[in-house]
Amino acid sequence: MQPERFALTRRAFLAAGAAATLRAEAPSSRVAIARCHSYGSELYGTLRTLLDQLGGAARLVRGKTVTLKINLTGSPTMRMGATPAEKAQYTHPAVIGSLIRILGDAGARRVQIAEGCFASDEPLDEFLLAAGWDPAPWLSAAPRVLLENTNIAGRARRYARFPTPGGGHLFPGFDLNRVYADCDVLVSVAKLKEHATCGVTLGMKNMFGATPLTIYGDYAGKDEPDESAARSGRVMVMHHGRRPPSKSAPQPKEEGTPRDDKWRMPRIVADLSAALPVHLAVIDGIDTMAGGEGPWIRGVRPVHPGLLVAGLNPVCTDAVATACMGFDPLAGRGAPPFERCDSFLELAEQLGVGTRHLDRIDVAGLPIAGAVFRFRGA
Amino acid sequence: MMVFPMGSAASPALLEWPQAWQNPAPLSLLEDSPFRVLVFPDGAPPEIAAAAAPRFTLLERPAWRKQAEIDWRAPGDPVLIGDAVWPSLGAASAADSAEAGPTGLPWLDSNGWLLRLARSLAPSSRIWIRSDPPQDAAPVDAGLSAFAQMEARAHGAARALSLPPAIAAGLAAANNSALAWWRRVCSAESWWQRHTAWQAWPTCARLLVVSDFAGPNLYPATEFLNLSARRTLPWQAVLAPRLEDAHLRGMAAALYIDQQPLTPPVLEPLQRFAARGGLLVCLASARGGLRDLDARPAAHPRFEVHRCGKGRVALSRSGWEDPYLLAQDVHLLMSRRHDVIRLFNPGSILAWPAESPHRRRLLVHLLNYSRYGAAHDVAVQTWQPVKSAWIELPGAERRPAALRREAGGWEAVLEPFDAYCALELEVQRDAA
Repeated sequence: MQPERFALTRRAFLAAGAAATLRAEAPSSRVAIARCHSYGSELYGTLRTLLDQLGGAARLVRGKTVTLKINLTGSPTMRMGATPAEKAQYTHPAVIGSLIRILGDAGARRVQIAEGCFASDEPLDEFLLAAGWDPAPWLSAAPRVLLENTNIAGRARRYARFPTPGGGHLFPGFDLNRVYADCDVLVSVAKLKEHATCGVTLGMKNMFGATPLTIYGDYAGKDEPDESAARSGRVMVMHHGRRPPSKSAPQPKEEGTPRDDKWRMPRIVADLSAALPVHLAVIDGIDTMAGGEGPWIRGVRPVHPGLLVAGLNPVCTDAVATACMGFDPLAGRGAPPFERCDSFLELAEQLGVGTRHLDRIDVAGLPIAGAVFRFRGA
Repeated sequence: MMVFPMGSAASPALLEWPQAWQNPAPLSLLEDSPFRVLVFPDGAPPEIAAAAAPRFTLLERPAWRKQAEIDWRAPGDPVLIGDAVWPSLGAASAADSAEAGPTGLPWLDSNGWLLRLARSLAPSSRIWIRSDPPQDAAPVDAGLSAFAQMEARAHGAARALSLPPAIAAGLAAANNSALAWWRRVCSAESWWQRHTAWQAWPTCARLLVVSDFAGPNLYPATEFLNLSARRTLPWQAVLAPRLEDAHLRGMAAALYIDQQPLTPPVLEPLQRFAARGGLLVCLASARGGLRDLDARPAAHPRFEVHRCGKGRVALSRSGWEDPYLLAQDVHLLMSRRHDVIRLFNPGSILAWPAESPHRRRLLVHLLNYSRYGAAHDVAVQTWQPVKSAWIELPGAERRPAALRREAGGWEAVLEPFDAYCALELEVQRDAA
């Protein structure tokens, strides 16, 4: 019998070949990095320069409707020690506000702020108030700004379907709030963090919060979305596959698959990145946390990388951000930061979303070498 | 039963005379304690009554009542509530837990809402409560009894101390561990004796709950009060027939919870309140003669929200079947913009804001219902400009609290505490 490392089946061989082909074809796009020490007066100019390095905001958004998916993971009243959420697990409101202003100044017709608020169907503005944030500055930062909690059908009262090209790893498609469909440009405004089940949470993992609780939540409707069921999390359906999403939505390919969140979640993130293209990823790494994605993770601590990262391809952007965190974006399962999970960067690359190979990515602004902030050494 | 003079909410400390104490000897133990009222459920034996009478007030055969049976139109003084719960952290459900993920709020058994209701509806009466110690509690857990006493005090009431049988026997025998138990509970009560003024401070709230708190309205009303307190949504309550414009002054919202249609004595103050810019929430079937409602209500899953003058009227289409939803809906309809305080990292802590009579000081009572280890990194935030802040913990010196300005307002991060903490804020009312 051959040693296991040489025991390549035909199926694995074909898969590897296909993956190699996709990797070769996976698109690449410029990523910009900037040093930004605070959320004060330097933020707006730094963010604007960052977008200019990507071709300018106007080219991307003039006359268009833009949806910003922000990252407000967990309860708004939960903090890492005495550190406010915006300096740890949440995208900082100043980053979101500055971005709204830049996009408004660049001619965006409408800016829609979207998030699936923690275990709740309450209006997003009320959720912000619970975190101690005033949404008023956002609403006046551009001509037409609206807020949407995407855990439910919301204003449109119906969902939009997003098929995963090629069928995806696990989910052949997703039904999501229409704020993600009724837009021309989708921006993921994420936080630079590690993640317990995905290794890192950046522009791509941020989009997991787009999945509505009415369909993918623990209490989701069995046959149809249940608009009164937006409570609790997505543990049963998404993390562990203990129950399916509402039958009305595309069903995951569960047969023979592990019910292990560290296998499932990276695939769901990769599938989402293919089904729901992100046109711009902006990652807030000014003040953040190391050791996990939220205060509920044991051993987390505040860190100050002082970085902003942005790019037009979410895989490329996340690959560069991963490198900025002191990790190898080419690492697979078993190597940091993917010691216990599969790499969603690799899985998204296999789907042809983008390349994670730094040698194929044009980096503008601060070089990666000058931006590295080692999260594990922090 | 003794009759106490009315006019002050401050209550002496109460002790239920244990059955095991068959002679007056334990009175010597009580001499230097804060307990000045001795409760004899079955009447005081003559020998003990004679020895106690000069120095203690005796309350014999008290008519403890279930809260549901109290006629709030004539509650008496003191109000004796005999079905209090033992304040504690409820059992957590692990059904929805994930290895990594944000968690929900723990279940708490609390008397705070009940005591504040009693304080609202019987403002001139003493509010006394009792309950038997839990059967499964460790018999020598002084912290549990001290916490129960403090919970009542924080809400302007007093709890009759019931000695666990082992403690009663131990005290009679001058047992060291029983004496340590006794000293700890006395210490908690003594601390509150030095803070009687705080107990009279009224709730600082932007929500008024209007009901008769009786019959079919009792359950939704009391569940609402309980669950709103859990949301750190403080309220004041008033009996519907006694509603006056003055009750609505400074309020952002009023909830009329009763099934009966609004009739003029209640309707008119609420109509004026909405016209001036307030939010009125009531059942659609109880709208009675409400006038000037906009014909095109705003969309809401469970309410028709009409403009009415400068304010709004939210009419519930579906009734009050789910008190949790009702508390959430009222909170969000009135908006968190009107939150008096926000609490971060609350865990098993309940907070209740009160204010000084001149309204220049905001006092936040914080009770940690878990009592397992100290609550860490709890922050209290208020939108009201704060000039200075002070922290007091039982058994520790009063000291300044560090303040910081955050996006949501002024914020104080509290030091660890395992049972009770008071945060007193000097607020700048004119700038608020």
